[in-house]
Amino acid sequence: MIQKAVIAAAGRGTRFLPVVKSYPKELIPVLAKPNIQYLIEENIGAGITDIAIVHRLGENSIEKYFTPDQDLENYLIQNNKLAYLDSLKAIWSKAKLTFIAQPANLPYGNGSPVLAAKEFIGTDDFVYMFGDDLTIEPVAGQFLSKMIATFDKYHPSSVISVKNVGREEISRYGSAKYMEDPNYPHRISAMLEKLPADQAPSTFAQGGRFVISNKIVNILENQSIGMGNELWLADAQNNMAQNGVVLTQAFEGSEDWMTTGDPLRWLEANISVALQDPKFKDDLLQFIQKIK
Amino acid sequence: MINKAVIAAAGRGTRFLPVVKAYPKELVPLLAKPNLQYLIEEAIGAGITNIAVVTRAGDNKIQQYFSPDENLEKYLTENNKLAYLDSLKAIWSKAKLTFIPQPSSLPYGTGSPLLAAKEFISTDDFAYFHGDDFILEPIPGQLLSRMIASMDKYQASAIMAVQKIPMEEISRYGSVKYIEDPKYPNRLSEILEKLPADQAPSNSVNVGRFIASSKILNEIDTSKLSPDKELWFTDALTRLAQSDVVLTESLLTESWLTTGDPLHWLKANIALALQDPKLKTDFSKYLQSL
Repeated sequence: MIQKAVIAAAGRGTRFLPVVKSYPKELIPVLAKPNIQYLIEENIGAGITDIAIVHRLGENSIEKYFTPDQDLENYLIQNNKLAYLDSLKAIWSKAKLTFIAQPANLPYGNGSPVLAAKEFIGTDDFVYMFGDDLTIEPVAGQFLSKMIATFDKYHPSSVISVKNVGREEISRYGSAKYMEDPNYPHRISAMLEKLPADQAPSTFAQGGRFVISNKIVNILENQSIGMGNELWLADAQNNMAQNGVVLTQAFEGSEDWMTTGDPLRWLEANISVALQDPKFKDDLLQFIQKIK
Repeated sequence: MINKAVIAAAGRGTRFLPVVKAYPKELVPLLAKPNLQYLIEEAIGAGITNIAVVTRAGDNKIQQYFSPDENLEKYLTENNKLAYLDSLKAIWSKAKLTFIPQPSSLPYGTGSPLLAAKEFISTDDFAYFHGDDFILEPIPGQLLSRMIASMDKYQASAIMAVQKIPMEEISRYGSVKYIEDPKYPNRLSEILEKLPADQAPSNSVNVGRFIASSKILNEIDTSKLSPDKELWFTDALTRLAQSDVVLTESLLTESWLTTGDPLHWLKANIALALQDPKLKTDFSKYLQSL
């Protein structure tokens, strides 16, 4: 039973400079909500209510955003606009949020937030999310629930989200190398680094959602620094794939995965989210038809 | 010669809640820059270098954004990424920014930021920007430069930039009533707020860009509030137009976009990305695929 999630939100977000000079990139809006709020809602939708956010040391604005603000509430009550805070109030009533500053002595890289959250994780298996990614789905948590179900059913070392991005796009991503195994669906032998399209073992790219066994903490603690002097989650995943079972779960049908790490893809993600909203859909499509 | 601008950036931005719980709506991004930065760049493009930003009392995030950050610069220098700050450095080298908190004693509305900036304006003519309006133009400051030229040419007391909108939307805006005057093109007699389409005198509405003489300050009267208790700048313009020459300037190759609510803001981002040389090819392809 998975009950904990760790969200990595400690990146610099330089591709979003200069605006991220004033706030962490996880607070960049997707429509009227910060990017990271969707990740929290995705967890809650999948029944996960114990959520840790690993943020940059010295940065407290994510925590502040997720903390009640009495002055604002008073103003909104007086102006009959308190409903604007409904989504935050839902989070406060359903989830327990923990904020963890990533210590300066940890290396850069997407493995370090796991180590920063070691105490929070304890001896539990957990969901791990990259703060840069958005799951686009009709019901928040739908995809994550499937990943958790796969984890519960097969007890692998981890379940990695993947998206079939096609041959033309795969060179921008790491790709999954699959192995035949009658006992496990979509088992991989490795997640390979970015490769030219004709050398990639599959067109399935790694997404930013993972369900991982607790043993990854120990693996990361003993892992040497990898490419570019960073501590990579992928190295630990490959270690687990060699010594245990690592499975993938693909976004499919009504589910999609988008990154929000640079302005172009973030804008595309905004459009995707808006097109799922009946309030915006027709108006926006009309605008796009006219302008494109 | 206009060398001062006042930018109104003191709104609550409730339509952008909850995200503006974390920062003022003027820092909501258009692509990778806060929307307020485009307004400052527009002013600089028109040769204006003395710029006051009127902020909400108690909010210092805007000022902080526009102040140098030694640690960040050091990090970017080490990582060979300092170019990401070029647009800010250009502002720092070209303009003097003043940040004025709007006293909470002032009423809501577009007139109050100018009362807050009274000392800054002093006796000079100035440009006035509404923070929620965004002008997309091939060269930043192009529209404003034309307005400044008209102000000089006609020795007007104010110029208001206008855009024609579909008549069925006019009831949400102030409609411009013109007077025939052989000496002045597009001379304004009054701005009539929120009239039904069959009563509105024209379909021209303001786009949040103005040039005004400091005389306008005498017409901003806190005892004359709108029906919903706001202090409107357009009421002051109407009063000024009784005694002085107030003209309108039409948008040509510029587009008027608003950024005050998520849907319009998203549209502004889309329009901006289609003009961005780095993004437009990929982004057009994406839009075609929708």
